[in-house]
Amino acid sequence: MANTKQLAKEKEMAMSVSNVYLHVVEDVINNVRADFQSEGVDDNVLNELQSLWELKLVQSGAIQESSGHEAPANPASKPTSQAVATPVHDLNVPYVATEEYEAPSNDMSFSRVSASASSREPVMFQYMPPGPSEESLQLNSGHHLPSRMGNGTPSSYMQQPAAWMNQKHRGVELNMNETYEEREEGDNGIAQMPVAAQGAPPITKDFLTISTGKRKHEEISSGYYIPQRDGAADDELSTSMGEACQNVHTEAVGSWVKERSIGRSEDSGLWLQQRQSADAAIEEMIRAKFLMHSGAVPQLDGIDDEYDDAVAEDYNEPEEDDVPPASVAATPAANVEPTESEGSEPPLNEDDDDDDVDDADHGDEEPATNHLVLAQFDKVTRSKNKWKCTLKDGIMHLNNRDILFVKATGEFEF
Amino acid sequence: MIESSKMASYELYRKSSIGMSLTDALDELVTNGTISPLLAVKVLMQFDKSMNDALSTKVKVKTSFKGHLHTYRFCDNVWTFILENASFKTDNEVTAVDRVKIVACDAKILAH
Repeated sequence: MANTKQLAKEKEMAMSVSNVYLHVVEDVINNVRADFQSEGVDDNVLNELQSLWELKLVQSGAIQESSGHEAPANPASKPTSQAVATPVHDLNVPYVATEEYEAPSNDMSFSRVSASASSREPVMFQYMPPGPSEESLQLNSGHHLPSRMGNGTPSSYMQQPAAWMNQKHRGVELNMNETYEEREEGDNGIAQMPVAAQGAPPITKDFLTISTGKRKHEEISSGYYIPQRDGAADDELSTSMGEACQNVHTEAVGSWVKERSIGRSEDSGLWLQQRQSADAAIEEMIRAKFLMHSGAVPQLDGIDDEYDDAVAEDYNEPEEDDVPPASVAATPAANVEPTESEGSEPPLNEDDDDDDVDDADHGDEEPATNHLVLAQFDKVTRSKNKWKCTLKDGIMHLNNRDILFVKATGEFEF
Repeated sequence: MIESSKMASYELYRKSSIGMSLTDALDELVTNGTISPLLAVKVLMQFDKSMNDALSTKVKVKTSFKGHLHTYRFCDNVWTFILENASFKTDNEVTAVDRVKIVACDAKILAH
């Protein structure tokens, strides 16, 4: 009794992959016969199906004919590799979609980052050319536009930000004076900004501030971006700031030209100073230009957008700081319209984004493999990087050979 | 294992070599108009059932495998692993591959 059982078991054990497959073929053919008949399809067609199927099985190398000659003849295993390639492709399709959905979440994380950055260092400051030292900060307080002279600040207060700025944002120089002045200035018109990261004056400092980038994201997502901007800019600029900006513009340009004639051969402190006032001049020019050319809504948005992008990029990648300040500094000297340098930068940023996406795509693309295991899992566990899984009812296709299992245990480390 | 005939069956195995062979054959017959697409689908569904049955009743092989986990994913109750330098050990032989993809559906869902 036990012996016969044992024998039967061994016989079953011995049931080769080919036999299982042939059994499946038989089983399927027999069970669909009724369906064929009910559709009025001739039995011959069913036989044709069976022989076609078996032929392809043999060609794929999945089963071996009794002679066993055909099995090694494996150039015909191409269909199998296609079969393997197909799931790889299929699984990537949803992945692309995920990627698209991830993009906004990246934005979210960015806004979170900049939010925390701005809470830590509440005010975002004037952007300056790379390289300036603390010295330049101090100098700047005295050398900025006359109307702001009174607001010169204790240097002890400025030293601190200078330290973290130099360490963490190498190229980015921040001007505390500027910020606070701007805030006061801005508060007249900014009150309508509910999001109002502390001290991110929208119009005056847009192209220089980081928190603006964050606000931009938030505004876009919350959908009140455009109306708010327009209202703020229109009101503020047309009333309180319009004329002042014009004056400031000419003043700043004048002072820039004068300082520039001093030449670069002077000591570096002076040079930095000049660059800073150049920055201010540019800023003012942009603002003035912006005022003169537009009460128009679309223009406002465009300018703001572009500057937002540019600054966000600078903040994230300090190494590249050299580029934007250089172009900005060159602007007044070359008498190039600021809008041109603006126009050239946003595409850059967009490209960067695209590259990131592409990289991610390539990085996560699954390497194609011809070896495939199809199974059902009973249990998958992980402790730290050690994984264990138990699978059942599996078909393995390894080295162009099929192996079936009823149970499999796997251990692997990540 | 009698209840297995009543179970729903995974379509997972259609991607195996035997499943692809059947799909190819059906494709030819549908393309030249010998059978209707609906009939082809019925055949595939029968294949799902037959294959699931056969694996759980006709196969006794047990396997263990190891490797370095390159990628894992659990989505829609399907585990996907990509193992590198994996070796599969059956009774008396070891098969080594540089990279293998493992796709596993949840066995418990099917049992319900």
